[in-house]
Amino acid sequence: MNPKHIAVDDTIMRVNMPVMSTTEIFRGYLSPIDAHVITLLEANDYTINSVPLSQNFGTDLSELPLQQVREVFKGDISACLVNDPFGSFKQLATKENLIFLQPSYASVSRYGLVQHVPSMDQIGILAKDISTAYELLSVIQSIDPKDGVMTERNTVSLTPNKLEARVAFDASLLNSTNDEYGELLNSIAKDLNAVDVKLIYFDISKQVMTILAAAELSHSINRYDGVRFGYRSADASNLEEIYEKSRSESFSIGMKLFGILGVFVLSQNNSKRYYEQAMKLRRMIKESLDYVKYDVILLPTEINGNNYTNLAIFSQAPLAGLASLTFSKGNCGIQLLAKPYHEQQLLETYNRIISKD
Amino acid sequence: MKYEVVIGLEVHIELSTESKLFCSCPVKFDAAPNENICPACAGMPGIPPVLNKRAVELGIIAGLVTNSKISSVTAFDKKNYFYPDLPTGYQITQFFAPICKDGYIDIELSDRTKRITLKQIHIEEDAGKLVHTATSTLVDLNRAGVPLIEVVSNPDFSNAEEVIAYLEKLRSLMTFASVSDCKMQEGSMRCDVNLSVRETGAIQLGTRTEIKNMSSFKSITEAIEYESNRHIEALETMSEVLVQETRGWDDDAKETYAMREKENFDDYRYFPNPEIMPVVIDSSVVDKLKRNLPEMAHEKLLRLTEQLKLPVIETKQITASKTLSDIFDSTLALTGNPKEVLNWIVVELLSIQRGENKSVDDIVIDTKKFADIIKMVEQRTINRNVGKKLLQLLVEQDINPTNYVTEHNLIIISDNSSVESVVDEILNTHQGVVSEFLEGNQKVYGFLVGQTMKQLGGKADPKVVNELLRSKLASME
Ligand SMILES: [Zn+2]
Repeated sequence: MNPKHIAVDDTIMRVNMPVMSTTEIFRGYLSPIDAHVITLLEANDYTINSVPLSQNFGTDLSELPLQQVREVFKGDISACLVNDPFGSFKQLATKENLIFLQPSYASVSRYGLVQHVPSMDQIGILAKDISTAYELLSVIQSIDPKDGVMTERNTVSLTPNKLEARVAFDASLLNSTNDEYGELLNSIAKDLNAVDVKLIYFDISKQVMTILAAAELSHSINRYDGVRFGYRSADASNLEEIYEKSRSESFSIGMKLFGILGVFVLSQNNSKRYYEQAMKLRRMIKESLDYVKYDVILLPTEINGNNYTNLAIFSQAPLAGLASLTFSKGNCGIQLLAKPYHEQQLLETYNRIISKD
Repeated sequence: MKYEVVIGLEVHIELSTESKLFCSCPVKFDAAPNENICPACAGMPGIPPVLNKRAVELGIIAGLVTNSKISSVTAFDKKNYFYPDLPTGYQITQFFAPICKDGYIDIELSDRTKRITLKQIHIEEDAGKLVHTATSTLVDLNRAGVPLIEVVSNPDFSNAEEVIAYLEKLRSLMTFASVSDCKMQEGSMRCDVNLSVRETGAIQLGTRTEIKNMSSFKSITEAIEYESNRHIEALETMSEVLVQETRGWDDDAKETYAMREKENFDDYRYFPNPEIMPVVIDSSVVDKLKRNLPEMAHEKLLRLTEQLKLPVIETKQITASKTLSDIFDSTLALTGNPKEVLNWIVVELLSIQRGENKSVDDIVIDTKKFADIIKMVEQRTINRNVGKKLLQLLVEQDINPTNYVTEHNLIIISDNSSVESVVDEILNTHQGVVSEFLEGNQKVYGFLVGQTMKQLGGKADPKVVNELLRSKLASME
């Protein structure tokens, strides 16, 4: 493994290189710019491979891109940068013995990252080991005036914490999880002297996530019309047909579903009922996190069920703009959440978990 | 039955920023198609919007000069509509938290002053432009992303006269505050007219139609008259059922028409744009902008007429236009004689502009050179007629008046003896005319002056020519 040899998902744009190349609507499109993170990485002497990881804006939730991830890490690549709003790559990290470090929202420039769900888009680090992940974090977390949501406040101190982070754990989430995994996680919580919390909005969070992601995605994909770039239907004979056929033929089922759902939840008659409620709940989720009592939340990485139920676990960080670290110890998948700009508390907690036998 | 017309206006005004609202592309009116675009304003993926701070400042200034409340927090939203001139498929605008609210503008009508209240002012990006050719439609995105404010009035107008008075006042306020150049012919001030008709005294409003994208006072007046009559006729004769809709104005047929259904977007699916941070407007920023507000037209009129004692009618011609007002200020600063400058602008410069069929706001003049001409006339280096010719050449060809005078030997002939010999010669050559004059025909006097001036190459001091001619003719009687 070469710590200076990394991959970036091709939704992170590089001059004259294909963008989101496995997504049909982008066919033939070459980026006019370098993403800000690319500039930072090159300045720090990284060798970069562009790889096609994200497909169809991450909307095809039923199938995790396992083969693609394996392909990326076959050689001496030490890490891969990828935007993971739906948690697919975090799930894979635990299965493939990798680490996923998600920096705090808006602490890494999105200049040059294809918009998916702008209020949650965040370049994350899928890495072979923890030191590579934090090394990379220190390179890419840098204020960029080209991303208007970044402000001077968004700088993260990476000096390791001397104080032990106070950990919180919601054991009730494990009720539907298989016993063995539950026991493992419980014992980790115990080792960390975790305090009990109840994440009261946990059950509703996947719906909140779905509504907000659909609303934003429906706007993000509005610009793909087959006219200026990318895929254009071969048998369209007028403008109307270019729009209709180019999209029909190139958008995946997931993109269509999210697109239609987004239009639905934002439409005049439904916006109050769905979008505005979801926004309210998002705020409540954020406010329910009580950082007076704890610094880090320990979460499972799967709850008995399918990818959609798992969306609840992985939507906590993007909904609240938190930093998160996902990894496994033995067979036990672990997710840690910290409040914005406290990535060092994740590292400290990780070290405690891993060093314990 | 008596009816009253109820009108509300949405006026789009292009902000005078150097660059676009969310990218650094320049804002220029007459660029080649798609010259001023970049991946961001062309709607390519992956480039977040970065808010132009100057646009926000100009938005605040617009609020200050319209007596509006400035919001302490303002934010941007996405407004969805799908049209080829909108590269991202959504427009960034302010729906939930506009920058200004609850302002008002007092307008001068022929018989009274009326207060028009404003619902809000918000900032938004302009769309591109479609260019239709015989075989295709082309998209020019130069205008896409250009910052605008939309000034939304309450339905306080009753007729076209009020609407035009309001638009003129709004243009004056925005140009004098340097918020915009408000050039209607270039589309930097455009107007949507919302109109309905109800029985006089009724509380409920009638069916409302919106006439979109009007950009001349003349067509606005005509459209309001046409549309009011259409509504009244529909109400009186049941000739048609009025529906709430968007209409266009056909300037050739002089009528409004229903726009295609597709242009009647009604579900914009607004939501807060997560790519732009809400803007916190500190009261100290507002105070600072307020302190630095330039003089508005009505304040200037008052100062010039009361302190400098300039005549009201002529001064109003100056203060009606920011361009003329600026020319007046900088020329005055160089010459120091307000009456002369006023006179040169109102009489001479405006007549040149009318002759060229230009809009007042299109006058471009080097005021340093303009001042040189005025000073040369004042110091009797050249006579007034030569000065007028120089001004014409300055406007048309941007000549250097001082050099031109030397090169073309236009300096006034101040040697009275050479003028006198020419006068003698003219009186001698035109003895018939002279005797007509002596018999009482005053009209021919001008002919003699003209001939003398012509002989002197137009360079003599007309006063000297006059004195000599008069005294010589008098001695002949
Ligand atoms: Zn641009």
